[in-house]
Amino acid sequence: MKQLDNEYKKQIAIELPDLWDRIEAGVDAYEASKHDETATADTVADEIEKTVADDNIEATDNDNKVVDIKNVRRIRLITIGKIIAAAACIFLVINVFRMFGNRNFSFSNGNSAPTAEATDDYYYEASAAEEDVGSAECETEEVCESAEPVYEEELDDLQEEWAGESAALPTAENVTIGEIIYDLERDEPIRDKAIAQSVTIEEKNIPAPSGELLEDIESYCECSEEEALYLYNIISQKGIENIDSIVKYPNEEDNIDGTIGNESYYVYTSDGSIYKVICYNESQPVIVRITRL
Amino acid sequence: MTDEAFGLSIQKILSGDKSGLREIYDEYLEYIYRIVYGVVGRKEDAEDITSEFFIKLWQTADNIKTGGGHKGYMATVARNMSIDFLRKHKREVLESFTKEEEDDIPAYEPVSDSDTEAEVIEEVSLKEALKELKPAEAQIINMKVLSEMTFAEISQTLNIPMGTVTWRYREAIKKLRRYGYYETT
Repeated sequence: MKQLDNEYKKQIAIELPDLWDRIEAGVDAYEASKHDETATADTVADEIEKTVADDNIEATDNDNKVVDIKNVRRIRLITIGKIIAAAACIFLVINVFRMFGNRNFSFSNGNSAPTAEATDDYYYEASAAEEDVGSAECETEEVCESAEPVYEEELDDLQEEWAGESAALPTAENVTIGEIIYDLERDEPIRDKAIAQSVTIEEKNIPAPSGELLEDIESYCECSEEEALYLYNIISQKGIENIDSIVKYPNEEDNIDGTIGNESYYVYTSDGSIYKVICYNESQPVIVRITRL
Repeated sequence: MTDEAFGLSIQKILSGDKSGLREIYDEYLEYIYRIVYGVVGRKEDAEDITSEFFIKLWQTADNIKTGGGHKGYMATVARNMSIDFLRKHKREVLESFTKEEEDDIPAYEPVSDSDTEAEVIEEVSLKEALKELKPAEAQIINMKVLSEMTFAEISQTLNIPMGTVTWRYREAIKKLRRYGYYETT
């Protein structure tokens, strides 16, 4: 009687091909392509250097006087800068006036649109009060006191408005990773946006693995054999290939459905892609959501 | 090869020294080729994937964690590459298997159990004995014996029920026993 395993392995050993030349050629080709990429990058860098060097060349102007192009460019830049600064100042001033105009209107007329008269009146009053308050010659305390509440009230109003606007914005604790918005505190996607925006793949009626399992899968996977096998199959069925490793993430206690028992994994592939895989174990059928990060 | 020796070879690869890859190749060519051949079942494909495996090892050497279970890691990567290949060429492979199965006429004559013990043909090589198997049976034997895959893995790779896998495996083993081959596990 002959042992099948040994005999078969022996036979394979006898017929073993010599692949070294092919492998060496493949390695050389890979190194050559890497070298080409580096060379291309160097060429681009050289071109940039050359362009920078060209800035120092001299040229002649209309009067045939030799001038330094760099200086001409600098002068032009300064001129453009001045124009932009002036435009920005004008824009700023206009906006400040508009803002004050709106404030005046809100004090006097509630929710209706401001009229030109109301705006003019406000400017007149405000400037008059400012003159009185700012002046060292402020003669009576009444004038000063009447001017101050106008500014304080206005400031309070502005602060309230800004507070309202900032409450409507997402909090600073949320961060977008890929196409999902994650809540960093809970380390889970924010419900509505995650569902709407994430690239999701849903699997239904996934059979749980049974029978024998991989013996050596632990060597590349930090989760259990059963989970790894299960994941490998459902992930690779979705076209994610060349899986290098699967790392289990600490259990997420609450999932977006409010149930308990989710499992999260990070799947790393040889091309550098990372996928986050969440298995919603409590849902029936099991839903697996795969997101490319 | 020890983990330390493997680590040193990887270091050589990282410094651009091909001798590091050659060391791993000399040590593991048979192992990797056997695993790959077990899954894809065709010499040409197995050679392609094995070559690709070692080239990939060179390319991704900086991502390899040395120091623990490198053999298992390499086996898993080789197996995954082979399964990926099988899936990519699924239609082609399945068509060839189906066709072979349709044309397949069992070459052996069923004999009774009492005859089996007596009529063990010692001279028949394994290669010839394997020819007596149906393609689907041979594939399962390859995966089980050469690639050391579990029944569950085979079932999921070939997308057939595990009961079918075990049944075909037992059928194949029965046939091979007639030629004097027995399973160790």
